[in-house]
Amino acid sequence: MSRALGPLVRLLLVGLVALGLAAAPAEAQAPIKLGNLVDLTGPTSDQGKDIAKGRNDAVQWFNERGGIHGRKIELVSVEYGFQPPRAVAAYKKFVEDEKVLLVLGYGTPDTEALRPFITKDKMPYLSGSYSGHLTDPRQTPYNFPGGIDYTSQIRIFLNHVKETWKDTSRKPRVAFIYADNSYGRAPIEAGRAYAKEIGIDLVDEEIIPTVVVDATSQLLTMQKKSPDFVYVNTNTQWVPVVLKDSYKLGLKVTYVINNYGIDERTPKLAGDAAEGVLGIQDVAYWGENVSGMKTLMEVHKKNHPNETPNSPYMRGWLWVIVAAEAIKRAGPNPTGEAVKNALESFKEFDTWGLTPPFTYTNEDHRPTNRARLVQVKGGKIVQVREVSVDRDMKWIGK
Amino acid sequence: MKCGGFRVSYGSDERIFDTALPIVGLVLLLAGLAVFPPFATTYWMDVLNRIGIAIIGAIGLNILLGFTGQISIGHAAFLAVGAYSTAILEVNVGLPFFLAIPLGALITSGFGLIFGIPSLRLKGLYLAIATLSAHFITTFVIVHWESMTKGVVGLSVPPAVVFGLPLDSDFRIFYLIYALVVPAILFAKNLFRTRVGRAFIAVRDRDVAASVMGVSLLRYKLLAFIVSSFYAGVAGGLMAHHSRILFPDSFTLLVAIDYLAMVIIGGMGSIVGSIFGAIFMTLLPEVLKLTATSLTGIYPQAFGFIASVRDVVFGLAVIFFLMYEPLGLARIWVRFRSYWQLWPYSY
Repeated sequence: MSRALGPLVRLLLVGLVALGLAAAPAEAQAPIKLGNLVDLTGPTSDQGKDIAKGRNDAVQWFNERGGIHGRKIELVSVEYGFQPPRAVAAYKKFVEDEKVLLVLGYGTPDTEALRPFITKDKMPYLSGSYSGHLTDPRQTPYNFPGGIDYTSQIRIFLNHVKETWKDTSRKPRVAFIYADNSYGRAPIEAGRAYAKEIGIDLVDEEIIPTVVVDATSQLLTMQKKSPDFVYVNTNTQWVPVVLKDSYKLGLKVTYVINNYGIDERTPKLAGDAAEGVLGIQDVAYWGENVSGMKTLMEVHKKNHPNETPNSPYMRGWLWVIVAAEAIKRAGPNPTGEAVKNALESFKEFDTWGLTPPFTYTNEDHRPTNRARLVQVKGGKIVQVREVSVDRDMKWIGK
Repeated sequence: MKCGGFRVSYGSDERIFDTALPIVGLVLLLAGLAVFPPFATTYWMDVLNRIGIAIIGAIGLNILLGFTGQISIGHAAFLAVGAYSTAILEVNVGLPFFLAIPLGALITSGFGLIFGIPSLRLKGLYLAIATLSAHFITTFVIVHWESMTKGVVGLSVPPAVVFGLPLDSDFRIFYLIYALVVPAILFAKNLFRTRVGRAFIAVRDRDVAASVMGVSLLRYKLLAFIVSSFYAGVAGGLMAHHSRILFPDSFTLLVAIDYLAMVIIGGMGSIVGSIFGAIFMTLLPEVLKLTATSLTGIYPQAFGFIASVRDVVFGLAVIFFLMYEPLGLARIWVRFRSYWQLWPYSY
């Protein structure tokens, strides 16, 4: 090699190496995209807005600490107004255009609708829907409900009825009130079967619209069957309508509300009508003494100084925490398959104390079998006791 | 030099297009659409497909509303019947899509015929309420006839298959949708050059006078409902294949109102207006969404804020058109065209 070429070659080599060095971190630093489906305008927007805030804040928090494996997280957000067709369109965008690694889903109607697509695309889908139909990995291997499934909740309710029933002269009578959508109906069939199994009379079922303004006629029909306990499966925004109408009619029943129907706002919205109402809740309430609460409170105070936080905000965090952990476990170049396997390696994973620890296995996608029975007392929500059901494989996917 | 409309023979009077320009434009547009997909993202294909479906549906409604003067708020129900009957024919009976879509559309026509019967006695608002009942009855049936429709859980539809190739993506279904959009437009455009179409217009303008002239109101009003719901049936069948999942929630009253808005904003009694209306109403929310997304970098709350103002913008757009351009986008188009036709002697 001639003398003149030597430095040139060296320069070229140095340049190539430098380019390589520059390219490698650039590749590693490409953000990890997550699909973010939220409802800000639809019938569940009361929770949707807080959930969206929680997800944004959580992602920001992780990014400020360097992201995952040095890569930032990017949320690709779509607002879908709780309309399944719009969710289908959003999902296409996530998968085909944005190439997201994982989707933070939202409601039951849309998640159930997307089931075949999710399985086909091998897209890990962490949903806000806790429908029992999504818990069976043989049917829906990529669906991961982000909380205790509705079927377990209705079984907790029925067990509670059984345990507290002292009258030996007759069996307890229960009724179900549920919203007219697949969220409302999700656990009902399993509830019917379980009531029969443990010897509780299901005397009535009342269906209320997704957006309910008056439940008087349904409650009057229900009154004729005189149930002792009523399980309500709709959203926080609409539960007070049922409670207030019931209070107005003077019904003497014990209401038990599922996790999405009761939060800090219930006593404020329903007033006296909410007194004594029970709820099944998996997430902690605001300000409770759990490990992650301090962080959440600080971030909330910083980002939304003038707003009152509600528990759906914590759910927003919860799912990002779970997703982040799964991505971390899936390694620096995660694929959908790897994230799914990572999620299935969760064993008593501590969700910063926001919920009971999560366990997913390749046979069972029910994250937890534990929750808390809460009650409205003096305008505040207090914990009555810890409740749980056994992880019976008979109920999986139901 | 040609200046304005100047026809010297019956032949030239009967032509669909006055000048060669729209034909060239159409050919270019179709060619553009045909080669567009490989360069587009799924998102834009999805939008284009929804526009195509909306065009068929809006033309259908315009035939009824704009050309025959029969108000219908039941258009979402007609779409639903088309979508569900197509899907059920494929899922439960096992028909291929090229039979299921036309059969589904025929079923929808029958359904439209039944709900068109009140139009013989009722007019205006009264008819609107009668067709509204079609909406509620359909929704009720879809929700509760679970063995057929899978109720609120939603009915999965298999992809249409052409020569062994499943049309399971937005890129593939696009060609099916636009293969039906073109004949839908041409049929409607020609319909109003025929005796039937003229009769529709006569019924719209003054039904008593039309009846005196020998136009059978019974026949033509029902025929309008049949044709209109056939279009809705086709659009519904395409919706089933596009989203591949059907819910009662896909066909709310808001959908019917969206279609009414398409016809009003686009221009009542104008085929090209239906097309403009369909494009406008499908693009508006997307444009707002894109604006919101691009603004989130500067102002993080924009996403939530714009989601909430979308309905307000919709409402304002409708009011704007009703006040300042009651004949819709089609009228703006006509003015634009005649300006250039007459240019530079536009005095």
